[in-house]
Amino acid sequence: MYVSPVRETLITGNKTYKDVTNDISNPVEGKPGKFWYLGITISVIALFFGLFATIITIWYGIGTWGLNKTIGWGFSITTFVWWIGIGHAGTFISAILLLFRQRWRTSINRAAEAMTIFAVLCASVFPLIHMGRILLFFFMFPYPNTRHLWVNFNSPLLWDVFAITTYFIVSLLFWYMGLLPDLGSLRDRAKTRMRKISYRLLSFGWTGSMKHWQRHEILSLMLAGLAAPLVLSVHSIVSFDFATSVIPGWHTTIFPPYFVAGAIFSGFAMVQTLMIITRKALHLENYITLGHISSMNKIIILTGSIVGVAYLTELFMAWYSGVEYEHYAFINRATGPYWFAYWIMMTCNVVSPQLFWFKKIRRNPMITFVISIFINIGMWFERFVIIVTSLHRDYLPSSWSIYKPTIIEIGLFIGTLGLFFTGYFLFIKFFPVIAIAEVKSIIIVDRSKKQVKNADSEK
Amino acid sequence: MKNNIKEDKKLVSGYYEHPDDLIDAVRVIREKELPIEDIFTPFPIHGLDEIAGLRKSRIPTLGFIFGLIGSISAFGFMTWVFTVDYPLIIGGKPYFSVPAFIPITFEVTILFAALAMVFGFLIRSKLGMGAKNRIYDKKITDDHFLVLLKGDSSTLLESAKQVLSATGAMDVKIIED
Repeated sequence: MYVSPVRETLITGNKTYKDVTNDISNPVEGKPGKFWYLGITISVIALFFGLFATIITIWYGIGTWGLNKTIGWGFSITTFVWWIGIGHAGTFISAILLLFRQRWRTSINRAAEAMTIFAVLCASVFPLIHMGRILLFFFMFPYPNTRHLWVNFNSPLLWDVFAITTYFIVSLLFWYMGLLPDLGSLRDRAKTRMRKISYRLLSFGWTGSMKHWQRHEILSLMLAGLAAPLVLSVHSIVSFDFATSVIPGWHTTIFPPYFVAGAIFSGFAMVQTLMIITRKALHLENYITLGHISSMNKIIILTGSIVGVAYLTELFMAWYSGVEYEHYAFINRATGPYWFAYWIMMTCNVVSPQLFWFKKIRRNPMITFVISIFINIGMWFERFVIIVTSLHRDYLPSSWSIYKPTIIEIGLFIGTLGLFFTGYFLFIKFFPVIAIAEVKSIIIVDRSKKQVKNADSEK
Repeated sequence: MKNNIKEDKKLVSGYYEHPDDLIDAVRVIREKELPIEDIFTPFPIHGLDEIAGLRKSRIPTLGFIFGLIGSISAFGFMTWVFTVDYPLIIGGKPYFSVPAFIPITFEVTILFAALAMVFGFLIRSKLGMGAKNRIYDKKITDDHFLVLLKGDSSTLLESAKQVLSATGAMDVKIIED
């Protein structure tokens, strides 16, 4: 077997196949620690706050929000785009990195895909309740109705419905198919009756037969091949919601690539946030190593720099186009009433990831964690800047207005954070957080079984 | 002669603890032309399907066919809706506005292909909620690489046992199917 002298060890600690199964299954089988209980309690409280805000919104209507005639999209669409963007990193890791044969993806893809699913779930809450009459949500789908009128296939908002539905279903299938072998591991290790029954049902009768593996491998590759353009299309379509309109600051052709880069950027920041906590809490430092954190930080520099260039390009185009509305929109972003949002966005998204050029910082989990939080905040403000700042002063100064979120809107935002983290905490309790079978396929265990080596190293 | 009388189908199993041992053993088994029932591994071993003589999976073809059905039906449906059933000018676009139909066509293509491949995989592999597939060894999902050879005559079973033992398999035994 070829051993690279250049690449660093992917899985440290000289693990055997048995060690891998044990290390990753133990957190699922043991009692969760104090940290887990604390985390899920806070998340569930946040979730209930969000539930309360949702009920108020549905009961009284979206008049409970701070929106007005000028600013029809506020917190909810900002948060919607933010969550969809976060979801993108999961698919990027599991699909695009699979196609590029990046072996380090095996330690983080499972958790990142789970993150995608919860993030898309959180995102889909907002368009639904923003419709005002949630019980009529089925109007979104093209079904034969008594009015004989179909949905508008020319509208990016409808494309969104199709894109996000497809994205959710494909991500769920991809994630669950990948989980089957590992659920089989848990089933075969199960001691209690409850665990035996539930994991037998969940593992779909996985046996590890070579025929299953052969199809499983080709299925993963094919799904990755489909999910890669899918993930690019989803955020492109989300950006069309803005780009096809005539609002200054929205009406630009740069939006699709800029949104996709931003999505992957914010998603990787969220993966870092989750992974740094997970590796510490579940003692998986040998599986999610500093090398993994560093690799993800490199992607953050790349996508963060693309986002930075996009910001500058927008500014340049606003000036170069000679359109005074466009011109004003950007001056207003930097110096208008929402100047703070613009400068938070600039500092968090453009300046902070540049620190990762330094190897010391790139390989430091604490600093990475802090920067990842900054990026999460920055990317939320990016969407806020794009949506609220562009809308609040449009062509007609008499209709200029100011938007302030109400407690209900903030509650909805906190509620989706609660939903996301509740989902994630339940996931790390009941499912293997790292793809056991995939990690086994990238380590090399010496035949004598005394000495263990790694596929990518001779260390 | 006794050896020629057909007996019930029986299986011989033995496991290895290292993928390289398994691959070496499967090569020997193929050389001796012993019929392989199945091989069970904790993780996918690249090239094993070729060495063991498995046919290529047709899942990609299935995905292609259903993807094509998806794109044709999505594009065809939108065209029918906006040119035949209820022509309506929206946003100054023509009735038959091809670029506007592309995103949905694309999404439906992917949705159909993905669903078809996943269900094809599950049905073909007999996997699903409540599937009762036999687990030959509980450690297959941990670190055992199990080979199952089949034989309907005792000579075949004997030689299967011999080959497995000779290649270093552990716990070689005959099991009833």
